Amino acid sequence: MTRVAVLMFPGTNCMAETADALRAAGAEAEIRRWNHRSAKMSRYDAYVVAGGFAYEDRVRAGAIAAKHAILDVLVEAAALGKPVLGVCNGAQVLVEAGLVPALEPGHVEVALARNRVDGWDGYYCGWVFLSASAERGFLAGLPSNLPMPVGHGEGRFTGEAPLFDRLEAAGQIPLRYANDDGSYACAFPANPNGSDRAAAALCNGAGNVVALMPHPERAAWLYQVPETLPGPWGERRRRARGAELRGPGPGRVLYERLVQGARAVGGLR
Amino acid sequence: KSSRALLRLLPTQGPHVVLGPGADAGVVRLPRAGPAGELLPQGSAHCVVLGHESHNHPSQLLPFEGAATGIGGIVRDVYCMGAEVIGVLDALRFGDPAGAQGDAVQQIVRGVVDGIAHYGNALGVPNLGGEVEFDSDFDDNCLVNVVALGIMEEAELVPSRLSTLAGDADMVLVLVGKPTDDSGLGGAAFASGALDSDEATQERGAVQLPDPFFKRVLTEANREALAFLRRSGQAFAMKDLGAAGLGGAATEIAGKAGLDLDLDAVHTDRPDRTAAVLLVAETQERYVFAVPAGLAPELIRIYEEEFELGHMVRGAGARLVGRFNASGRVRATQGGEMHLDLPTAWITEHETIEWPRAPRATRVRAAPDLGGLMQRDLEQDLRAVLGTLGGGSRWPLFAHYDSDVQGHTSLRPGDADAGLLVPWRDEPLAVAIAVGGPARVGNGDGWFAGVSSVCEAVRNVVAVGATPWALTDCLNFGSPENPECMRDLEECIHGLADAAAAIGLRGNPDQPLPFVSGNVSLYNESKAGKAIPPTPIVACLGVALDVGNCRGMSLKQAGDCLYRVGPWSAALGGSLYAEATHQRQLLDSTRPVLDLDEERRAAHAVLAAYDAGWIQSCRDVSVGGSLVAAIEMCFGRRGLGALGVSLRLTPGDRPALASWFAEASGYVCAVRPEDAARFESLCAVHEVETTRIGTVLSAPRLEIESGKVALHLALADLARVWRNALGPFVFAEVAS
Repeated sequence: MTRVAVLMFPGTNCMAETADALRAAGAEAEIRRWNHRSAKMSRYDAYVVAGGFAYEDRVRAGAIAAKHAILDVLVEAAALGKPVLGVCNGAQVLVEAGLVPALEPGHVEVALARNRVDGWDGYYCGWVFLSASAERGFLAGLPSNLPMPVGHGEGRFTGEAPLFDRLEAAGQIPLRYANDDGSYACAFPANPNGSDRAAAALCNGAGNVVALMPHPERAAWLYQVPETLPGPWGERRRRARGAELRGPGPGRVLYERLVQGARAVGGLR
Repeated sequence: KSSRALLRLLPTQGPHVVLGPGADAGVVRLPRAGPAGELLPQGSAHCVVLGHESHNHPSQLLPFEGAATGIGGIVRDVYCMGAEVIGVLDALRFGDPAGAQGDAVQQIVRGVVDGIAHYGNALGVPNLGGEVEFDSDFDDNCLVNVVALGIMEEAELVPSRLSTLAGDADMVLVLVGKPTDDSGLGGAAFASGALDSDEATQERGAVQLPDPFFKRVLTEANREALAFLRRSGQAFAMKDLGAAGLGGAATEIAGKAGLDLDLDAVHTDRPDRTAAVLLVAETQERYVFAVPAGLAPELIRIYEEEFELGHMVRGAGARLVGRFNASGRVRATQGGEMHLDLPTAWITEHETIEWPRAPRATRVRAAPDLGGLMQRDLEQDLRAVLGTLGGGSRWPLFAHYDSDVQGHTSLRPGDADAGLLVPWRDEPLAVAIAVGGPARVGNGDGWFAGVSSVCEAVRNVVAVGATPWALTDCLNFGSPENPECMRDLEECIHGLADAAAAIGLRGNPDQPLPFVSGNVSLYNESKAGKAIPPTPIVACLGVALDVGNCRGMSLKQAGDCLYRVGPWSAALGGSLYAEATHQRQLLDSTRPVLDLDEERRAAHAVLAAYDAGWIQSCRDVSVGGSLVAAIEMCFGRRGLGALGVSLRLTPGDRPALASWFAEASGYVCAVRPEDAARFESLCAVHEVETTRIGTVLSAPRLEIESGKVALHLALADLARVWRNALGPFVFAEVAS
């Protein structure tokens, strides 16, 4: 069975539901603390850095966790092509560690800055739609217009314009906030944070390391989907009766892709 | 403790009550399904833990810290029972942000909302909303009541005190968490003192300092520590440090045993802390354990090494600070000197004061003169109601809270009248939680305030399809030295008891809904000494065997039939309508009669219709009356719903506006046309007046025809008014 480590730093708070979602996607998921012995840590097939407020967001969100020795495990896994996913605060950690976008690995190239968008100030919790365009890595071929919740105050991918041009050209913006009609969203609340190029996720060149702001584990079961959500997933929720409501939600597929990606890497080795 | 004797009037027992009031939090067993799908109160191992407290005075003075430590304190109460906290919600009362003290009130609103968000979001506990009301009566004294909900298995319940005299058991006391400092010094006494601004500046040091980040790490460490202690098979106890700090917690955990506290062993932020500070400071994020001495080293190692508490906050950790004995006395020494030596019982027993009570109030409300309503413009009045602070969307507040963390949330704030969680991933069992509290209730209306708060909280959970299972209360009143406040308090408690008995536990006719936890907050008054209106806040826990049978309030499908379940009234006394349209005479006139028997029958009818699978969406009728209920079912949480309603009502001899806006208890339900006839007969069997009031439209439009009143308009326009009502004063949302 595919073994996935869910990493927890001091202040991480989304590890339980992330592990549950991975299990529902067919993985054997284990929650691992920051000071867990690292020799055993490299044996996993994939890694997820869960959301929360690692080290209290001191200095910058993700900045302190990114300097922790356990990150060596992720650097090694990234180089081996194993899937490494950072969700929300986990995304901030991967960016601060220079694992994403990693045009020059190990360098901090983009920032996840404080949300800046007309009509809202500070932390925002709500649902968005994602437009998918990955060509490589475990997100390739993901269905588009997936609804997912966000919950963050610092989720705005930002950096110098030429760098984002390069990322766009290289296919390193695998998921973007979208409007109802599928177009990229610039305005709140479809774009919850004012992210450059409406980026909801960035990945490394190979696509196996992904920094994702929305929370697929909060959309892994149908009962988590809001009744008022427009589109087919909302319709499915509104019509669901009895046990149907405990079926998969729109975020489940993302963890399924991660597990498939881990299997593929395992098969190659 | 001025209220102890009165509180004995409340029902607290039941076949499903594991632990009633008196502990840090109440514990109830969840139901299991009987042969006919009914809820059996015994036989399941799953429990819910409920805590409910106020943090009013600290929040008035330092809104951010006050509200944050309010959350921090109530979750600690639930954690220390051995539970996982899976949700919090708040009942808030603010002054008038547009009134004489508007600027100060706005700062308090923002500070409180930021404090709640800061603590809950970082701790990783979803906020399920609650209630927010604005009234100038709260200009000088806001209310911040917090409810926390936890889950555990019955066998995991951790005792809060030693059950033995610990004579030869060799038990020790281990203190874990932040290093003790001088924050929150004397907080317990401060929290219930009257507020004036001079005192405010002097007592700032009394406000406790929140640290949700550290609490998150401490919670993870506690989970591992509890697993270790449970595995040992030996008896132990755990208690959080709240009011009166280490001294309070240590004596309570000692029970009838004695305890020698070594204050030199307590970890502190500075070496020069005095014994008095160490004993009573209310430094946050701390717990004590009473454990067999042999387990202490491993327990301490978990906190110090595995979770590296000292790396999170300088000086934090776990220390062995005391030994239990059979002396029956609590002694504390520092530097070889005795600083405390008292019988345990003396410290933990409280004095009871009997305050005089004013005679029963005979407040007479005049019959309303409804004649003026015939000339009023419905559209204008509707805009006024939806655009006020009382009627506007709460979404701009709630979207600052993380309502989704932990992944259990199925209905969020704004989706329904109650929050709905699916706590166990592999089971269909769902729990609903909601609060109810009075609005526009004056002094002298204690009984009505009590009854209506219970009924509102109950209706909120029934509306999502959950069966009311247990209650908690927090009673916010003025000074007990004021005989009128004591009278209101006494009548309120009678009201709570009457309503809990009348509604009862479904399927157990003689069993009242039990109050399993509670809190009383007194001395809530203005600078001039005017008491706040009686404000009992009641939380209701609801349960559903299958989340797949629960529904939120939003309309699902065009063509569905809309019903009002519950009798009509034209009484507008105390209504948001009368207030929003400045009709003083109506505001002070008679209120709709609250018939507790009808209240129970209506709840049972709705639950039976849910059981049958006929309810598509439902919400309770409260602020704004039946019309606002129906419109909010179109809106959804942000006012962007795709469906509308056509409402028709033949109001007989009552003015249509009065029927639509009267806050007569009941529900608005949407039912598929093919189920309509069966739904109507089911309501008839339950002897509940039920009226077909309209049909769901395929476009977001509102069409009303009743009597001489007709209105046709697009909902988008009304939704904008509703969405932006709080914006200018609280948090501005996009003004689209």
